[in-house]
Amino acid sequence: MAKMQAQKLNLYYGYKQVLQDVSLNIPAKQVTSLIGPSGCGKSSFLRCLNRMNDHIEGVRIEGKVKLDRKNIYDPSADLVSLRARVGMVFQKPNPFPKSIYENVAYGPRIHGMYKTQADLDHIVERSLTQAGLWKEVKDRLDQMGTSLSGGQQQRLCIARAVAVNPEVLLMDEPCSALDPIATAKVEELIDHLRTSLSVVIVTHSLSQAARLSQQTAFFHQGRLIEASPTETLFTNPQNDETQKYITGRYG
Amino acid sequence: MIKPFPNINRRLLKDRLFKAFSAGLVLLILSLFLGLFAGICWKGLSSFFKAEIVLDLSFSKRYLKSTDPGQEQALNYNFILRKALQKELDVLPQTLEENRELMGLVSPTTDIALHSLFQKNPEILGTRRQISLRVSDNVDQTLKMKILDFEPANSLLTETQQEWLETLKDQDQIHQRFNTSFFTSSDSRDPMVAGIWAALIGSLYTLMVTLLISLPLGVGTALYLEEFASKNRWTNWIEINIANLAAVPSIIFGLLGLSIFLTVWGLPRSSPLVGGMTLALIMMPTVVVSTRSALKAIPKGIREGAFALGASKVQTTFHHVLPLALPGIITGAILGLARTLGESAPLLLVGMVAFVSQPPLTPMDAATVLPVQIFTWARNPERGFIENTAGAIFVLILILIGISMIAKILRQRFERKW
Ligand SMILES: Nc1ncnc2c1ncn2[C@@H]1O[C@H](COP(=O)(O)OP(=O)(O)OP(=O)(O)O)[C@@H](O)[C@H]1O
Ligand SMILES: [Mg+2]
Repeated sequence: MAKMQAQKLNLYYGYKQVLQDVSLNIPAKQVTSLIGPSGCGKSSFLRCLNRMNDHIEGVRIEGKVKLDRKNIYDPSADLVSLRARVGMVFQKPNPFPKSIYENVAYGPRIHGMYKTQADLDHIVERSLTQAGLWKEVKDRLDQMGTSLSGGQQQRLCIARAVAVNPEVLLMDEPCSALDPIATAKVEELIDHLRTSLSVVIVTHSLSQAARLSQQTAFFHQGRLIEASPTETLFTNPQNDETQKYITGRYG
Repeated sequence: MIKPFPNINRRLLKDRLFKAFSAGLVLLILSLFLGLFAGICWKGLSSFFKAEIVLDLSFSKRYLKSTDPGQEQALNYNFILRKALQKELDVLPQTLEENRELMGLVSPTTDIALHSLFQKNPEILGTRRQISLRVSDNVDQTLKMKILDFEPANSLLTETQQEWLETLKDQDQIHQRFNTSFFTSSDSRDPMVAGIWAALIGSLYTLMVTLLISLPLGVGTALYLEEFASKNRWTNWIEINIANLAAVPSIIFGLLGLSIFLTVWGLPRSSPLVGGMTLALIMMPTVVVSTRSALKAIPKGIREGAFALGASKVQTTFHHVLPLALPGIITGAILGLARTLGESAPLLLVGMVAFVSQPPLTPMDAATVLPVQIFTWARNPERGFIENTAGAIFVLILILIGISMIAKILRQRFERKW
């Protein structure tokens, strides 16, 4: 069953239309990857799923995005609980300039998700373990999150996002700033996360999409061209554009 | 054959010329500044030392003004003083003129000093004491010129006075003392005892009022404009006007303070409250502008990271954005504070120029501030006041340096924390 459903989504930056009639189902506990040429609207679509676009001046959105069959763009929808349920990891690692511990603890703190300090310690440890960072940082939790290396910072951001127990995790090119080893670690992590939540990942690496995801969606010029199980899309694309893109004959 | 770099020598020469030119400019500015500073130090330091004369005073009961027990006890201090001087110099002045000559050796406010001494130590009644007293301004200046080996065209003292002075010096009764009362006493008609205490307290109160008003208001305005308001023509217009306010001559704000705070609201004239409110108007644009640039410098990722975790706008602002902007805000506040600390023109307009011989107890009392005190003294013809002016300027500069050092420490502290 679909965890999230985008229905006839149109997005405008001012007068410029960036998404046109995008409808896509995000299945539960699977990895969905969004691929497509630069500027086709992948990030814009991803940011619709947790309403991050609300913070951009002059954005207009039409259509619906449903999370468990409830429209998140409904005027009565609550942004705080939406963001707690749909987490996000950005392309550029953006840890808070606070300690590693505080970075992970921030989400649980603002949502009041713990009773005792021990609870919070436990959440921090669990999240860092999930992000595969615990062993590296367990002796220096009070160090600044910004003092870590780029790959560690990105995993810290993932730990920060999973600390609030999201149901869906949105990732916008999470590995674009990482070396192959760190990338492998993050991929392993995403594969592991799939057991407990749904992941939507934007990537420019077709091999990464093929390795990681169960569903792949191909975007082109603001339209969703094709979305199907990853294997089908890569072996037997239905659309010419998709065919061209995945075989590298594009542009 | 073509030479590889045909005009390389000319380029190098230009480089060197430019470097020499800029280094020369820097040197010029530095030496001007150092010269100015040294001048102020030189002039100001002399105000920290004033001459005192040691006299053997008799506080005999005969000199009591009134024996009525109900009344406050007081002695005829000028009489005591004259007696002591007469004995010391072995003279007996006949005319009023001669008398004045004799008394002109000590500060005209000596009777006040003696009275407060008597009130603090009533047990001196009926005894003789060696008391160190301030000399008069003319004597002090003459002594200082002697030290500098400087012979003025027309002497400040009469011939007789100069002889007396030599006698007293020979008897080792005149000493230069560190002038603590310059810091602990307030304005006076006599430059020998005038001090900056009232002005310091007035400045403190005024700056506190200024900070308490302009910091929350300025930071709040900047936060609203930068984080909460949508960018439209209105906010744009407000922005431009705030930036322009920073360039408005400060005396205009003084007029505003006069016409609104004093005339319309009826707040007390000459008070640190009104002065502080007026200065707050001057300081606010600086705070707004510096806070906004500090907010602008915070990477977008921090805000997005917080939003994506479900933090509200207010939470994002107060948990992440504001603490990160704090070093910038502090810098702005200190810059504004430094400007307002040296401000005098707008304060003249709201009446802070009054003669204030007592520090204000509350921000509602009449007060003066350091720059206005300097201004008031500078208008006096006595040399002693000119000297005090330099001393007060020296203190003002020290305070400014102190403030900027505190700012630096604070900024580093907060930068390390975040
Ligand atoms: N804040 C914005 N204001 C105006 N236009 C924007 C904004 N953000 C994105 N766009 C435009 O929307 C279009 C889609 O951008 P988007 O970032 O979604 O592309 P993308 O598929 O993520 O590209 P990339 O792979 O390079 O990240 C682009 O043409 C871009 O210029
Ligand atoms: Mg993108």
